[in-house]
Amino acid sequence: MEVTRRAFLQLTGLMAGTTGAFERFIRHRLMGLPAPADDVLLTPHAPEQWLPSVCQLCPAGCGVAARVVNGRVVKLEGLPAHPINQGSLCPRGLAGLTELYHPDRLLQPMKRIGERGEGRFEPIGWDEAIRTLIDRLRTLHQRGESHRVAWLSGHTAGIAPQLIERFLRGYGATRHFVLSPPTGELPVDAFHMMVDWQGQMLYDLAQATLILSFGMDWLQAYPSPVEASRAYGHLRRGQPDRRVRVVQIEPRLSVTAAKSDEWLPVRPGQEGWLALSMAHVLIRDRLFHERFVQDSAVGFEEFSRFVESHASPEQVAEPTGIPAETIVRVATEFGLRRGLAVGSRADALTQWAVMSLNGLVGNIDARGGILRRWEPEALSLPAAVTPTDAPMLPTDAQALPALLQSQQPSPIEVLVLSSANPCFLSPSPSRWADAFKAVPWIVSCTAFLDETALHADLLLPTATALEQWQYAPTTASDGTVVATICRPVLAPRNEARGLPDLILQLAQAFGPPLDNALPWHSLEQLVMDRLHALYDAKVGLLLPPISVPGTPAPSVEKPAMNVEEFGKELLARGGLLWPAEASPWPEFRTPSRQFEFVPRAIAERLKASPTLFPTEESAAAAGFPLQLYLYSPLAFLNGYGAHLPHLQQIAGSQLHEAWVTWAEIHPSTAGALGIRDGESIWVASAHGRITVKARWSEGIQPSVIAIPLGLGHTAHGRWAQGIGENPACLIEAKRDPQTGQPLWQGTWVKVWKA
Amino acid sequence: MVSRRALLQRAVVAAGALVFLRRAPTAQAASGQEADAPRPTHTPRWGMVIDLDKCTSCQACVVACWAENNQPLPGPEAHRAGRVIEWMKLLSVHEGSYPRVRQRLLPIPCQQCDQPPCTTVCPVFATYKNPEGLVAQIYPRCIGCRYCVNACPYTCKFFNWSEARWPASMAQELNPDVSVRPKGVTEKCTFCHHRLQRAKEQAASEGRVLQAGDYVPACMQACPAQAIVFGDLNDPASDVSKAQDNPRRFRLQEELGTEPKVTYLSEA
Repeated sequence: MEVTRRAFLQLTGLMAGTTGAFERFIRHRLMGLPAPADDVLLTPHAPEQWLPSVCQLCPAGCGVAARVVNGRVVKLEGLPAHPINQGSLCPRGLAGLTELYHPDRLLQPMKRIGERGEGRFEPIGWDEAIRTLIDRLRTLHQRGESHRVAWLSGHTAGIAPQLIERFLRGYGATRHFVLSPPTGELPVDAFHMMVDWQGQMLYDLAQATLILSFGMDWLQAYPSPVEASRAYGHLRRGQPDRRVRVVQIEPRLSVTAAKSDEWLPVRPGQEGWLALSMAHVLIRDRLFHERFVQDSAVGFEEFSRFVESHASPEQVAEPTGIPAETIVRVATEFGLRRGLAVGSRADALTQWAVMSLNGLVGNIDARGGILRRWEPEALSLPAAVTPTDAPMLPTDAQALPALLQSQQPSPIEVLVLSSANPCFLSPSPSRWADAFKAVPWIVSCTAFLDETALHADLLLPTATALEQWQYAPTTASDGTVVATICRPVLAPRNEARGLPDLILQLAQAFGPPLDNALPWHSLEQLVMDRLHALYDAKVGLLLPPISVPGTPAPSVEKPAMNVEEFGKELLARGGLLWPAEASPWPEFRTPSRQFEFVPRAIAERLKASPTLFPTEESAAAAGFPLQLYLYSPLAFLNGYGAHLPHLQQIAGSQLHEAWVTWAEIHPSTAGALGIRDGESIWVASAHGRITVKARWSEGIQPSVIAIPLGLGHTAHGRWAQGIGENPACLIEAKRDPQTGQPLWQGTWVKVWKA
Repeated sequence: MVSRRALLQRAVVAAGALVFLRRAPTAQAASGQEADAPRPTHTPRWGMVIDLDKCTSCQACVVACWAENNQPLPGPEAHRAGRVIEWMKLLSVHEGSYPRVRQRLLPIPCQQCDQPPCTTVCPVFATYKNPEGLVAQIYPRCIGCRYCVNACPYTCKFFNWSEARWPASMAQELNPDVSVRPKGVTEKCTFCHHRLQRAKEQAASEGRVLQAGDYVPACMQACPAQAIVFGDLNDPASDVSKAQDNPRRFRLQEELGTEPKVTYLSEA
């Protein structure tokens, strides 16, 4: 028999085709071996690519390098040489892929068909979704009621916040409410009062000479967790013959406290007294920075009079629970070393007390102290053509529920939500659900059907960071500015759209005057516009090419010649940076143009009553003997992360707890209440109660019970829903009179066995 | 009739084939050396140093390891049953009592012992120490007896009690360089051995020997505090050898004589 070439090839092709199937038949049918989880794994893969992008699981803005194989993103690494993360990532960033490929993501526009909060929606097309929204907006605009549109967003990074503001201004609305995270924010209110009324602050952690933290669990809850960890490693063993000491003042032995040289277990709410008494020691022993105090500050006399008479170490030892000699010793070390006092965005008085310590040692606008965020002019968007220059109204997100219900009908007709979940993460979250009932129409731009989205009438699915063009300027702790600029790593899943793209599309669909304020059809067009502007400005340095261990070295750098090459190179590398040295340091922007030890709001408060931080013995008398201390583990930074299984698993590693809400309680306190380790207990305040798992811990102030925030979802995907309890429902919706921020700490509770 | 010469020839061929077959690469055991790759001047011995004074217990290493090595998803049931597979895990120990209390937080990968207690108990040679010092696990050979799981004093071996499953969308993020282990076999930290293979292939394709920094495990690459140093312990000039030469050094349960190749540097 003659074998033709064609027949031979056919035969070999057939054999090759059947061999795999035959092997599968033998392995899985005859031998009973399990089938591989994903056959795609067995196929040889195309050359891999490493593409730059940015992580948006918190606002820090770390650069990521995404490994793409066969169109799938299979790993995220830190973008090497990115000023924020220098090639590393935090556990949240590493879990980012799970968010991208999460099985419960919202992937299609939906409209509500059931009752509000019931969770019954039906899919609709994008055209219909945008038309519905535009019709609503246009009707209000024509009636001259543009101000009845408001936007509520979370604390997000990237270009979206700027686009939202422009959208609202262009439309004629003036209300953009921004929800701030419960923990881990920098003390910006004190910074605004004492240093710069409109700037943003940075702690130059890596250059500090001593870090004294007042209740800020900075290794876990920090605006930029990777930078905090990086700074810690550098401070401890990154410099020859130098190891910087770290002291943590906090009621609970947090991870930061565990990693510190000294832990001072202060009573909750008394951190401010401790700071003022340390100021007392610095002034008494003349350990302050005399030149800074004389030349660059005002109000020193008034400040020293107050701390001398009200905050001696002996006076505060009792309320704070810290012995006077410890206060003197730590304060002396702080003064001698010219340390950095780190605080969080607690109540205004505590923020002020901590900030004044930095003023005393002259650590303002100084390396290793407090720096100011800056942004090169070339990075900002061109001035918008806006029909109205009406100032944005003060938008205190915590005042929104009251505002919504203040009149009939509600002053807000259309409420747009993005990256905000107040129905889960705000004190007394149920009041938000009640307030939303008063709003005729709510749109939620969200990647997940979360607690707040359940109350929306229209759901618009947003894309995650990797699925979008990015134009994300941010500033590193040392003042280096970086703009991460890149193309999408992959196309959005199904129907999802990036929030910036969505805003631009809405503006275009609306027409004048909105399309003047936002003259771009897409974020891609905006990025290309900016690339040309950056090329013309000839400023900033390109990030180095992406180089990953074990992969071919990047091609040799060549100077970008024309704008196309520049753009191509920039998008392949992931962005531009501006070294810190180039940043301008203008004078302090306060009424006196100097650092203000006692700003006006604080002076009034001091005059009213010298009891700044009351201990509220009355609460204990009323049957609530324990103080509740809330914190966010890094896994649930900003209360966000429980929907990702890996973050659930690592959240409670300090006590080997996971997938449950645990409460730390001192064995002596627990013993007196007959509570054993691991038992289920009720924790009740005057506002609500939850059941949690009691965990004995030696690392907690005996009058305190500590509970993590971030668990207790009633929605938000399979790994979040129904896991744990939400302690936010124990908190009274109370705001700090000076800052308007919600007061998360300071709730009194009682505890009993469940 | 077979001549004497032919018989001898056949015997030599058979012996050669036998030797060849015995040295044939197996799933995780392959040393990854290409025949035409330049011969390294010496055999490396891979080791790791974890500086606890730099470590911030952020657990980036833990999640990086999950993401890199296709470990099964953790979940509440697995957690309650103590069956979560985490090749890199954070151990936490409280010492003292309030207010003089310390907490030690240690990231624990496989200690890659030079005298591994787990390999000697394996009845089928599924786990063994390879020439470069890595304690390897050959998944297709493992019969799931869990002797090694019990023998490991560091609890760094994990048994797949159930089939690893991912929702369809999430199966896309699996690392194509790492096999998905079936139910019924034991798995463990490999020091990201697949990265070593890739690095060797890359070096061979560039016609050079492996250099420091070519081979970096996922945990070290992710670590924000740069607390992990990794490299060749046989090279006295390597970063890891230098980092190990430190008075703060200690190894876990050294008294057992396991000779771990993971060294810790204590906090103060």
